[in-house]
This record gives sequence, structure tokens and C-alpha cells, in this order.
Amino acid sequence: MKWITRERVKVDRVACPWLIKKFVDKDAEFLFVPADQVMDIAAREGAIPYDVKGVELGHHGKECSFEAILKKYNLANDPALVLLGKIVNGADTDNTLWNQPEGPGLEAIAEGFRHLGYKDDHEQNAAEWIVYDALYAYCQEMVRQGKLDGDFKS
Amino acid sequence: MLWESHMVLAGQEEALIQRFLVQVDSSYGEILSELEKDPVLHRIARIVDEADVVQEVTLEATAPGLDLICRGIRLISPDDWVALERGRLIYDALYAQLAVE
Repeated sequence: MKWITRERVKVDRVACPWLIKKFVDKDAEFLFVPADQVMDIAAREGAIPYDVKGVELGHHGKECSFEAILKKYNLANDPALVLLGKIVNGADTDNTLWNQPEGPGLEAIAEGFRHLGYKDDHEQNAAEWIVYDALYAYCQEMVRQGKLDGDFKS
Repeated sequence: MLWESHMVLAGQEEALIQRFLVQVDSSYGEILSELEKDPVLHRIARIVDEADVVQEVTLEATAPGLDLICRGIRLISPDDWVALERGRLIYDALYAQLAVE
């Protein structure tokens, strides 16, 4: 399938492609386009829009697009992905929903990747996925230790 | 950075660790004087210090996130060298962000 979102990615639009490729659609092809063209190109290309206003796989209330994908594709039964979703939420939103202490650090690093000179959103995604591989490994370890909210939340 | 040294030292012989620590001590003064010249590095040193040591009060909001990403990188890396290389990318990103700030 093709998956489409707004260009100039930051947190959710790196975390979601990572999640889609690893857990939803291993043959996923990603499109990053100007915000005002997402829905037109989605219709033309038969692509699934995500992290765009007004779509199913977008923000709902204080939940972020990553969490919408977890729900839609029955991934919320993996507590490590749920914890990862809370951390992504913390970095992508005002962090008032889950108050994950890890949010600001992920946000700073995600913002920093935008300044490392990658030529486009594809290249940045490819380089930055290691962050989410690391986060997921950490979340799995936390779940093994019975810390479903991570090591920092009291 | 000292933060990374744990990964390098893990599982090494005691004599090697001692030699490494002496080298680190002797160059630490130079590193500190470099930090004074670069406010971004100075800031990163504070964040790393907080991320590396369990603290009652978090002054640097980015420390817990940095800590967990570095811990995760250790978990997914086959050896310390790969972990260092990947960790460097994380610090490049953090540096880039703080420099813009």
C-alpha cells in the first residue's frame, strides 16, 4: 500500500512510518507532500492518509496519530508499543495526556534530525528509524520489568 | 563523552579499565575548557550528567528521553562500537537542536 502524509516530518510522521513498516505493511511505500495537497494526492494515488487533520489515522482528542494506528490495526495488545505510543505522544503534543517524562528528549532529538542535512523526508526517516528501534527495545525491556509506564514516571 | 565510556568499559579487564580512566582524567581538563568555549556543548554536558545519574529533581527536561534512547541503542546494538556510532547520531541531532534553540 501507499501511505501519505504532510512533508517536513518531525515526531509522529517518523514514528508512524516506522510503525507501519514494522507492524502493519512491510511493503509500505511512503509519500510526503505539501499539507494542502495530501487529500488530493491520496485520492489520486489510492494512498492511505495519516497524521493529517480530519482523517481516521490522525490526532483524536489528545491522542496522536501513532496511537490511532495502534488502535486501528489491533497493535494495542502489545504493551511495549502502547508505552512507545505514550512517549511519542509526549514528544508530539503538549504531553498533558500521559505526562511521559521521556517526551521532551525525544522531541528535541526529533527536531534535531531536521537540521542534520538530509535531502528529503525519505532520507530523514531512514536515518531516524534507529531512534524508534531503540525506543521500542527500551519499552520491551520496561514491560519485561513490569514497568508499563517506563522507568521515569512516578 | 564519559556517558559513552560505560559501553566501552563494560566487560573489559580491570587493568585496561584503569588505564582508560587515567587517560580520561588527563584529558578531562582539556574537554572542560573546550566546553567553556561552546555553550551548546556545555548544555549537552549538563543534560548528559542528568541522564547519567539518577536525580531527585530534573532540571534538563530532555535528560530522561536521551537516557532511554541511549539505553535502547545499547539493547539493539551488537557491540559497543556500533552503539557508539549510533549514539553519535543521537548526539549530533541533540547538538543541532540545541544550537538552533
